[in-house]
Amino acid sequence: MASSRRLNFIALGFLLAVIVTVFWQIETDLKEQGIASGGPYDNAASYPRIIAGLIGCLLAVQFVMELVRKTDVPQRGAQQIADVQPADLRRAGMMLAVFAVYLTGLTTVGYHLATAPMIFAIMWICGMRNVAKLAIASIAIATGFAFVFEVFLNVVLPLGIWNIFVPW
Amino acid sequence: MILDFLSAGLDVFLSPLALGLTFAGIMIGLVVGAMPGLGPLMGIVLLLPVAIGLPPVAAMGFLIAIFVGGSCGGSISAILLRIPGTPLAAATLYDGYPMAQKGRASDAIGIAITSSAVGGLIGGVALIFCAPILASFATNFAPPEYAMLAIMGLFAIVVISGGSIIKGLLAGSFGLLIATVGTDSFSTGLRFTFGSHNLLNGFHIVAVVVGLFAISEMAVQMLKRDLLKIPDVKVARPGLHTIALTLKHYGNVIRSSAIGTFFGAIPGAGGVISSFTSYAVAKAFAKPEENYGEGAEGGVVATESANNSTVGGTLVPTLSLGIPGDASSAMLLGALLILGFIPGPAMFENNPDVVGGIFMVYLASNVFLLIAGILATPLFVYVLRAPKVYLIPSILLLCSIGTFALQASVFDLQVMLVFGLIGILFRSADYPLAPVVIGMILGPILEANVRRSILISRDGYWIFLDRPVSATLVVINALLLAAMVYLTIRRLRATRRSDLAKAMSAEE
Repeated sequence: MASSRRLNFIALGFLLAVIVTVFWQIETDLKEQGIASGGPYDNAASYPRIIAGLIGCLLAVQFVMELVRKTDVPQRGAQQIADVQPADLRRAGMMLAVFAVYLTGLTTVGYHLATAPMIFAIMWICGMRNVAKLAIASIAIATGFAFVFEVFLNVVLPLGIWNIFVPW
Repeated sequence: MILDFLSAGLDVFLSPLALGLTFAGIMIGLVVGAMPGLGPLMGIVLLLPVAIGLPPVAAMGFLIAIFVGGSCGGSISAILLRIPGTPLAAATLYDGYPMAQKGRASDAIGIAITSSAVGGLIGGVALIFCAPILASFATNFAPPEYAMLAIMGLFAIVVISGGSIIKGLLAGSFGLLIATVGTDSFSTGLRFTFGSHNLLNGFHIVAVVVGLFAISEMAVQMLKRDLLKIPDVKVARPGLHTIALTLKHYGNVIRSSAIGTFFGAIPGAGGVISSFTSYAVAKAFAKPEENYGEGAEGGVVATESANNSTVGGTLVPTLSLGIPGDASSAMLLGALLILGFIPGPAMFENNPDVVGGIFMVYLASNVFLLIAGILATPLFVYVLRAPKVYLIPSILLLCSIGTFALQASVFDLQVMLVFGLIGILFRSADYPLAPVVIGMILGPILEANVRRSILISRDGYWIFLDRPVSATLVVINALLLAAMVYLTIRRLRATRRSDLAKAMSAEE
């Protein structure tokens, strides 16, 4: 499993990438727009520059603390994620993958065609194997939410390329 | 002045929509509070997209009622399952579960609900009296004071909420940075939009928050191995006699509610600290024969009245200064901003009906809590029996439809997913998520007021020390910063000592 230290370094790397992007944008895009210098009214770069600088300093301190820390014991919240078995991690990863595919295809396929399979798949990943129960539950949940949002809240859910809608 | 607010608020509050949604909010709050892993914040996050299309007082009634119901709901699972539905109910375990073991589960739940409602009402009285006074005091505030207040709000949350100070600051600063994406309100230049028109107004806060909290929480839930398990819970129906049982502890209720309100008003302290503190104080005041820790009614009374009065306390700085006390009140503040109201003295002056309406819905939600809690507890117990296999896809679906409904935007769904992944990364590396949201909400306030301060200043940054209130806030911020440095060094030393002890024991 990913160790506490490795997870910390990944988070530090992510934040480093964020501040590098901020400075890169200030030096390129914001300068081109003419908003990277001047007084408080015109200088839109000064505040994000200060915040990114602050993050940079904090990252350096946190990096040193990680290096100094001898043990690699997961901390409070990290424990619930760091102590998991590969099968648990696979389950969570599959759920995220299914959800990402659902969100990507939602506008193309439409809510009414895409939602029940997504719920079915996630319940299957959770370990449920009774196909009849899975099918009934996924259709019921998808239809129930659609009814509440479309009828009570007047939300037009994605119709997809086939313009599928339910005339409630 | 207070009566003016209440009478102005009464007109907008007494509508079937506002009353109905406040009651619905309590029911939803009790359900999300009772379910381990959810809680009031998650309830507000999930239902925020629904609320922002409603009239302001009805929307705030709905969200505040979820906050109130959710703060109490955690006690139900704490008492019946020995699993606090929310961290707020962690201290309720000490006496609530032993009461259930002795066959007094119904009494324990009834006492928890009554204490929460009474505590919430006491917090409401404090809110109604203190918020207008604080807002009136803050009418003289200018940009330097607001800038320092924003920094204070962020610092206080990082210092008091526990965990690593540096990680808290990193998370808060990340939130400040996210808030800079989009069109700059001063120069009208575009910042960090990468040529995308979707980013012209920045990230939608609801998409960010749903991703950070809800999606990451569902991923964490998927790591557990009890997804198909149906919890073994027996239905308990508290009777009206539990109101009398609670009122026998009136001294405890008033004291614990005062503690809860006080901690609620301090940004960052919140319900967990207040419930543990009031439990400790109640135990210290108790007679030995009350047997705290073995099923004492006073223990449940103390924790529950404290954590619900915290809600009233936390709304004081949120409404009067625009500084949220915790992540849940930050979401309420965010909702007000989306609805077109800027919390602070100006809202008290220009929108007394909205302020009064919020006071009224807060009071009403505590009354509804008592009614719904006593009458509908068997329903919440039944909900506790739902296995996670149904809960997880339902919440993911609610996240996606809710976020899509904001502006019918697929981009918001992508933002939600990306921030869900960031939330998972932050959780796994033990970075707190609340400072990200608070940073995102306070970011525009901080930047705009710092820039305005420099614009009106003749001596640059000295303007922050020229004005007495601003200078006082600078001193408080400096003290908080010193506390952060001290706490970081102390924790570092403690880690080293434990490393050394482990190394020595390994050698032996």
